[in-house]
Amino acid sequence: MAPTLAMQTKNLDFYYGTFQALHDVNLEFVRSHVTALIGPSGCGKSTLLRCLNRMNDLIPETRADGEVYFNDQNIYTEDVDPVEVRRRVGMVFQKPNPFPKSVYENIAWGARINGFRGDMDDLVETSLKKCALWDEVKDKLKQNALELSGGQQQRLCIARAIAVEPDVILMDEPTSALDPISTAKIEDLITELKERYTIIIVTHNMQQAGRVSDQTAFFLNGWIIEAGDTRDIFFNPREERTEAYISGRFG
Amino acid sequence: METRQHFVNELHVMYQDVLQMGTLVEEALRKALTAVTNQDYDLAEQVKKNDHQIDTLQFALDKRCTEIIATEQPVATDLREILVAMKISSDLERIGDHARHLVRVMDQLTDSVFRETLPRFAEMTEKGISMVHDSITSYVNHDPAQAREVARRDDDIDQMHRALYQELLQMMAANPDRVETGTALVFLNRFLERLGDHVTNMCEWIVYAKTGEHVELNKA
Repeated sequence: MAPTLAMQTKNLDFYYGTFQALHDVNLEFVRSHVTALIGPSGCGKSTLLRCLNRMNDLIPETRADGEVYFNDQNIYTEDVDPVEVRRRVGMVFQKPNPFPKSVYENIAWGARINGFRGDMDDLVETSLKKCALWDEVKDKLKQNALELSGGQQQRLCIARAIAVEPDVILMDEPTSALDPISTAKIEDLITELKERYTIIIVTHNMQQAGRVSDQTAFFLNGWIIEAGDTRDIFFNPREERTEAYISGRFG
Repeated sequence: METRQHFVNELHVMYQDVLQMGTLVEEALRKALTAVTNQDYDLAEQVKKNDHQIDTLQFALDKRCTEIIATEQPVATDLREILVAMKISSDLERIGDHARHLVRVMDQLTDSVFRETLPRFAEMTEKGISMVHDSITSYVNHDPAQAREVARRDDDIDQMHRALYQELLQMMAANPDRVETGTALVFLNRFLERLGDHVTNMCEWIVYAKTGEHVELNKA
């Protein structure tokens, strides 16, 4: 794997029972870049996202064929611990899902079970600062996280993900449940975080993909139709099906 | 049913606006030529009024394009088509100005030299009018091949411009008392040459709308 890459899939197929959800996916994820996965519902983009940290292992009767490389290691080989993979490749979901615990504990818990031995107060503060949330919650650290606004909860979930020092953050429609202001804050955050982390984001919001990502891959029926620099995809796509989808003229 | 019907309708109206602007500009050039040829001052007044109408249409078209961008978030070909409509409207507006310039120098064109050169000015203007017409057709039909063909015709106008320029210089050198008329004709010659350049610009944008690539057509 080229040193500029954080992850790479090679000939990846994925099955839910007998249904093939991904076909021969070959994608490269550039380190410290944001890659957007776009396509209509059911096209396989979230399935791919979950393949990248073996979250699909938790779904019964699924199978992945092919290879997913992370730091030159195929994460689908037997000697790889999926729990360690998920620590290094973190995930943020569509709906903010903080633990029903204090703001502080939301950050501290993951770090603690991962054997963090440093200054926990410092880790909580640093993680919240990286997510531009510290100023808003520094006086509410003991408050239940579920009392925060939706946008704050989502930033807390991102802070929780980065507290365990991952290399890659997977985001599955992270702003679809948020208002435009919270969305803008998350998008700003994504741009800041990509200096330290590689980010792969599934989004249905075309403008968001255009705004935040460096590379974009368009999926249809489990196949990659086109992948490349976001500017090329949105200004001059090579494939007619890509153009039809991004301009909202599908079907 | 096609998706995004409202957006599609908006784009359709935008094309119609460009078409209307092109038609007005063609009409302005033809009227200007007739006014100059026949020394028809009433027609010249109409050309000046028409130019105001062209300017108003350009503002309306730019406003429509801006609103489509703001409300419909177009991408790829749609976005390029909208940007190109704004670019073309700007060139058409400049061509409309040239029609106005043509009638503005009418008073200075009573000399016999003008009578002698008029057929060539008329030919240049006719060429310009057909270039405007065909470039707008290629825009509406999304036809870059036709746009390239139209741009090639600018060579003819350039050639006529150069020949006429030399002729006017020689005439002025030989007849210092005709310098005033000669200068007016040099300007007129220049306006018509610029007309060809504006159409060439339009053709370049039409190619860009289709391909996403900037090309330089007809660069000597």
